[in-house]
Amino acid sequence: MLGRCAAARATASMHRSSAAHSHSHTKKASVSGVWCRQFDVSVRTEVWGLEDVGDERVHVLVIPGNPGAAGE
Amino acid sequence: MSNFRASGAVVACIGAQTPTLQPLAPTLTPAYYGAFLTALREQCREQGISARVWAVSSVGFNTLSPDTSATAQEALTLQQQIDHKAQFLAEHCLGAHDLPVVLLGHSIGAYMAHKATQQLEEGGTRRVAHVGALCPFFETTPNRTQRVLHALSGCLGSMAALGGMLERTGPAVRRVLRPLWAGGMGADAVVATEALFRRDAFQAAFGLAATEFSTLTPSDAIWAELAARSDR
Repeated sequence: MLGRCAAARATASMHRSSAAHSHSHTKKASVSGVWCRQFDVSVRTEVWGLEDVGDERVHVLVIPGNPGAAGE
Repeated sequence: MSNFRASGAVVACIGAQTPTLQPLAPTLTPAYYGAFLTALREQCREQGISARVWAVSSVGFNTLSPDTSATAQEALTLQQQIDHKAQFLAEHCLGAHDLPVVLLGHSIGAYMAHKATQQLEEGGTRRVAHVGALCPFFETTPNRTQRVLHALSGCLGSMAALGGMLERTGPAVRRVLRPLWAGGMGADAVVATEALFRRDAFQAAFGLAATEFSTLTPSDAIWAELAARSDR
């Protein structure tokens, strides 16, 4: 239950912040066309992506591993 | 690196023994992550697929700024990270547009992707089209490094404090510690992993690792499937 609450809190916070500060926590990464968004520091989550070109037919979402398991 | 088709979707399969690309540390360095996403979109384009490519970090792994919020002290478990991915998927991917969604999970992220998809389907949410696993070599019989990390993960508070101390160390100390932390990885990944030397990152990473190794067992159906398809 704690997990669902934490996740819900994070997502709700992201929504609120996205509406109010959609640009304030967005940063262009060093690779061309890549953005990194931290909608609100409190959500403890970052979303990275490439600018859309308009003809996308599929949405690919990458879920990285845990750096805490380094050595793999 | 080789490609294979799974249920019609083209995904990249990265060999566990001699990886040429390691999307392990990119959550920590935008340049590293950006290169991976760019390569992924190009890979899709070569297969005739125009793709929107995103990546969502695990909760607590921030690069734009250190996590100084009150919740930074709250280390999330594997199940909590899975719940977070399911929420994110439902609200920002599956519920936001009509594009079919393909999940690519790396390492323990592959397990998260499968479990989050399973949870969403059980809840009646529109399903993820495909799930791909990149090096799903989390183990129930961890290697030496992982065994050490597992043992240390019982001391989350101390490890987080250590991360805070490392954050203030100089380059020379970091150079000594880097191979101990990520010796099995490529040079770029080792350098990138140095960004982990932060209190909040240690807290998040060890919080997840603490439950990662204790939660997964060979009898877990998803783990068994991923293990059977992996070469390690």
